[in-house]
Amino acid sequence: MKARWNRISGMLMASVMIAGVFAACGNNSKQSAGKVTVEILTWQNPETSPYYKGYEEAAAAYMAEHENVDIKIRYEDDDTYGSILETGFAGGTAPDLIQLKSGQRATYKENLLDLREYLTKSSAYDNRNDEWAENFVGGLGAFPVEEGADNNNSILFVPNDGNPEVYTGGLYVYNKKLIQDAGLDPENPPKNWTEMFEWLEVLKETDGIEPIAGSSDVGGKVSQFGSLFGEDYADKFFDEEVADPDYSDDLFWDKVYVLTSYDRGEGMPLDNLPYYGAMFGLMKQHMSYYQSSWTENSYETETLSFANANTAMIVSNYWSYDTLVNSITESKFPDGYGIFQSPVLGEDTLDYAVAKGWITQDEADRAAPSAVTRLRSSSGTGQHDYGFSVNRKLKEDQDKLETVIDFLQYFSSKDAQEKYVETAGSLSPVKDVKIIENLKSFIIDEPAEGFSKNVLGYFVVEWGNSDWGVTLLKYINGDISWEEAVEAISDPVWADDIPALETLEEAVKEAQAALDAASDDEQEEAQAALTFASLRYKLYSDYYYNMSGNLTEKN
Amino acid sequence: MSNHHNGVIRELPWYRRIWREVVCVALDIDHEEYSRKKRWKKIFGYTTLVGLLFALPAVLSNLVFDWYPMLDGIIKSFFTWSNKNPEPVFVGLQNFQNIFADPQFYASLKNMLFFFAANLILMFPTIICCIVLFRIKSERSQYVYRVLLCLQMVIPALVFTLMWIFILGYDFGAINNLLSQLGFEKVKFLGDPGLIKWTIIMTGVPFVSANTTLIYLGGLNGISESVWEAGTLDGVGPVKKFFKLELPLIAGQFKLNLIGVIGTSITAYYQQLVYYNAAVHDGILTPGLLMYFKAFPNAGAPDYGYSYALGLVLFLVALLISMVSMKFIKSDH
Repeated sequence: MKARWNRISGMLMASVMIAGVFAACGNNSKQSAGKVTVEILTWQNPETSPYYKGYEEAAAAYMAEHENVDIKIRYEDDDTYGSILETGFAGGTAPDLIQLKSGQRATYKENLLDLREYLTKSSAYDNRNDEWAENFVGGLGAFPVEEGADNNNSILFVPNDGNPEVYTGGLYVYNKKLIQDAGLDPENPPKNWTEMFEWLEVLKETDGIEPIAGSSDVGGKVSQFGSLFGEDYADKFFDEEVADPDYSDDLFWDKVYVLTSYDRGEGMPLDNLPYYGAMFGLMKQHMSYYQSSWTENSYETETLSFANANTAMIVSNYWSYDTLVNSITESKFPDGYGIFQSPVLGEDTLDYAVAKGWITQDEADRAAPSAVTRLRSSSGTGQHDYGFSVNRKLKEDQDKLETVIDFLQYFSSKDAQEKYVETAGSLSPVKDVKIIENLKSFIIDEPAEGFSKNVLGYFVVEWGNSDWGVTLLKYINGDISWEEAVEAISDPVWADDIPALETLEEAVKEAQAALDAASDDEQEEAQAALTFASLRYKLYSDYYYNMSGNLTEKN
Repeated sequence: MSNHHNGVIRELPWYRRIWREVVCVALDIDHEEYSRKKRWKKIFGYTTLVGLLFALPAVLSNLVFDWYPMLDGIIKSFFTWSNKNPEPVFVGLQNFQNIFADPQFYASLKNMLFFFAANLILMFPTIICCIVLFRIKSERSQYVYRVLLCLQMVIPALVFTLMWIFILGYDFGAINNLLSQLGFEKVKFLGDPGLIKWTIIMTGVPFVSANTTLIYLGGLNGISESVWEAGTLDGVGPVKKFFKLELPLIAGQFKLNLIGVIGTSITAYYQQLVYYNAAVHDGILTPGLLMYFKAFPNAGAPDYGYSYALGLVLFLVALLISMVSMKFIKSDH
C-alpha cells in the first residue's frame, strides 16, 4: 500500500513540476476576477525623480476612484530601457503604457497603438473641448504625425512633461560663497561667453575648488559648444526649393540624413565645415574647466560634487533642477545659490579665444559667419515631443485598453495636471495649466528675430559613428587632432534609416486626401501638411534616390 | 559475449544506433547492459519514467534557453539585418570579414589576453587557500573557516563590483580620500585607461572564489586517508606534499576550473561593462564588450550580424584553448 502511495505521489510531484514549468512559460497577464492590472514603464528613477512621485500620486488618485484598477509603475534605467522593450515586445511581455522619446517611438512604431481615434473624441475628465487632443497646447496640429503599424498618419503617444509653446534653456547654477571667495561678484554673473570664460579662468586658478561639476555624459557636455555654430547650415547644401524657412526646422533631420548618407553611404560632405576648427577649439577649452574626474563620474557624483562645494558651478536643465536644489544645504551654501542662462557665443568671444591662443585667427574668421547670434531653444519646437505610448497588443484586450485610455484621459485632465506639476516640478503639455515658480527661471523670452534655427553639428552624433564619445575624448585629451576626430566619427550608418520612396509618395497622397476632405477651418493646417510631405518627397527623391540635386555647399 | 553483442549492434540501422547511444547516455549504461533484454523492463520501468519526468523540465529549459539560442546564434552569424530592414539577409562570411578587418577587434584582443593571463595566475590563491584549509586538523575550525569563506556567496558579484566603484571613486572614494589625507596625489582608478585593467583585477582581492574552493575541497576530501598516511610514513614535508601529492591529486578539479576560467576570460564583458566609461575605452574593451556594444550601441544602428559572428568566434577560440589544455593536463593518476 505504502509503495503504491509512493508511486502515486512520485507521479504527482513530477507532473506538478512539469505543469509549473509550462505555467511559468505561459502568459502571466491574466487578471484576478474583475481587477484590471495596468503596467506603466518609465525611465524616471523612483529614488531620485520627482516625476516618478508625480506619476505615482496620479496613479494612486486614479485607483482610489477606480477600485477595480491596479496600476503598477515600473522603472527601468535609460541604459537598459531599449533592451527591455526589445525583449518585451518580442516575447509579448512589454508593459501596457510605455514612456517613449521620439526616436524610441520610431524604433518601436510597429508595436504601438495609433491613438488618433481616441484623441479626436472627447475626454471623460476634461470636457473643455470636443476633442481630447484640443485640451493639449497647440491642439491636434501640435501632435507629430508618425508612421505606424497600420498607416502613415498615426499619433503614437499622449504627451507628458513639456510644453511645445514654452521655450526653455540650460542654466548655470553657482555657489555664491565660492564665487565670492574667488574674488568674483556673485551678483553680477556672466552675460556672454567672453565674461563666462573670464569667470572660468579665475575659478580655475583658485585653490581647493574646480570650476564646473561634470559627469561622463560626453554628448551633453560637448553639445554646449556644438550648439553655438552652424545655424541653418544644413540648408546651405540644398536648392532654395527645399530650403523654405517655414519648414527649415521640420526638414532638419531629413537633411541631416541625406547629408550623412550622401552618395548612399559612399560620400561624406560633412567632413570639413568652416566652423569646425573654432567649434572644436572652444569645446576643448570649455571641457578643461570641468572637474578633473568628470569622465568617470555618474550624474549622482556630479551633483554631489556641487552640493559638497567641491565645484563652483553646475549646468542644469529643468528636468534635473528639483533634484539638484533638494541636495543643496545651508552649511555648504551659506550665501545661497545663483543662476544664469547659458550665454550665446558672439564674435567678440572668437576674438577673445584668438587672443588666448585657443584657436587661430583663420579658424575664427571662418567660423564667424556661422556663429549663432541669438538663443536657440532646447524645447518649444511647436510640437509635442514625448509622452506615453500604448502597447498595440492591448487591441486584443478591450477591457484593459479602455482602462488605459481612461487613465490617460484622467492624467491629462487640467485638474490632475495642476496637482502633478507641483509634485513633479514639470511643465505641463495641457492648456492653461500653471507654470510653477521653480521653472520660471528656465523660461526664455523669444528674441525679436525669433529663436535660432536648428544647428548642424550640435550633438556631433549626427555624424554617425557610435564611438564618437570615445573619439571626442581622445581629441580633448590631445591624443588626436580635430581633423582626425571628424574623420573617425564620420560614418554614414544612417543610410539604413532613409525612408523608402514609396512611403514618402504615399504620405503625399494621404496629405492630399486629408486636404480634400478638410473643412474650411482645417484648410490651412492641411495645406501645410501637404507642402511638408511634398518637400520631404522631393528632398529624398532629388538628393538621395535620383541624385539629380547638386549636393554641394552653395555659399 | 561482448564481442557477439557488438557484432549484433554493428548490424543495427543508423537510427537505432543513435537511439541506443542516446539511451545509454541518458541512463548511464553501457552497450552490453542495453542489449540485455531482461534489463528492458528496468530501463523503461516505473522508476525510470518518474526519473525522466523529473528530468524533463531541466532538459526542456536546457534545450530552449541554452541550445536553441546557441544554434540560432551560429546561423544568424551568417546574416545581416537592421531595424528598418528586419528581414535577415544571408551575407556568407561578410560578418567575419568585418570582424577581422576591424582594428577595434585586435585592440580588444590585447585586453582579453591580459585578463586571461591574470585569471590563470589568480587560480592559484584559491588552490593554496583550499590546501591550507584542508590541512587544518580541527574539524570545528575547518567548519568555521568554510562557513566564513562561503558567506560571501550570498552577496551577488555585481554588488561587490559596485561597492568597489564607490571605494575607488576619485572625488568621494575611501581610498582616494585616505591618499589625499596622507598627502599623496589622488589616483584615477576608474578614469585612467592604463590603470583600469589593474583596477578590475585588484577588486578581486583576496582572489579566493567560494565556488571553486568547494570544488577543490570536495576533491581533497574524496582522497583516501591511506594516501596521506603513506606520505607521512615516507617523511614527505609540507612543500613536497603540496607539489607531489595534493596538487596532482586535484588535477581533475583543476581542469574543471580551468575550463571555466578559459570560458569566462575569453568572453569577459560584464565587469568591463560596469566599469566602462568613454575615457577608459581603449584600456577596457574586450571582444565580449565589443560584441555587446555592437548589439546595443550608445548611438547609431546596431550591428547584430557582427555581434553574432563575434560570439561564434569567441566560442571557437574558447573551445580550441580548452581542448589544447585538456590534452596537456593529465588527471588520470
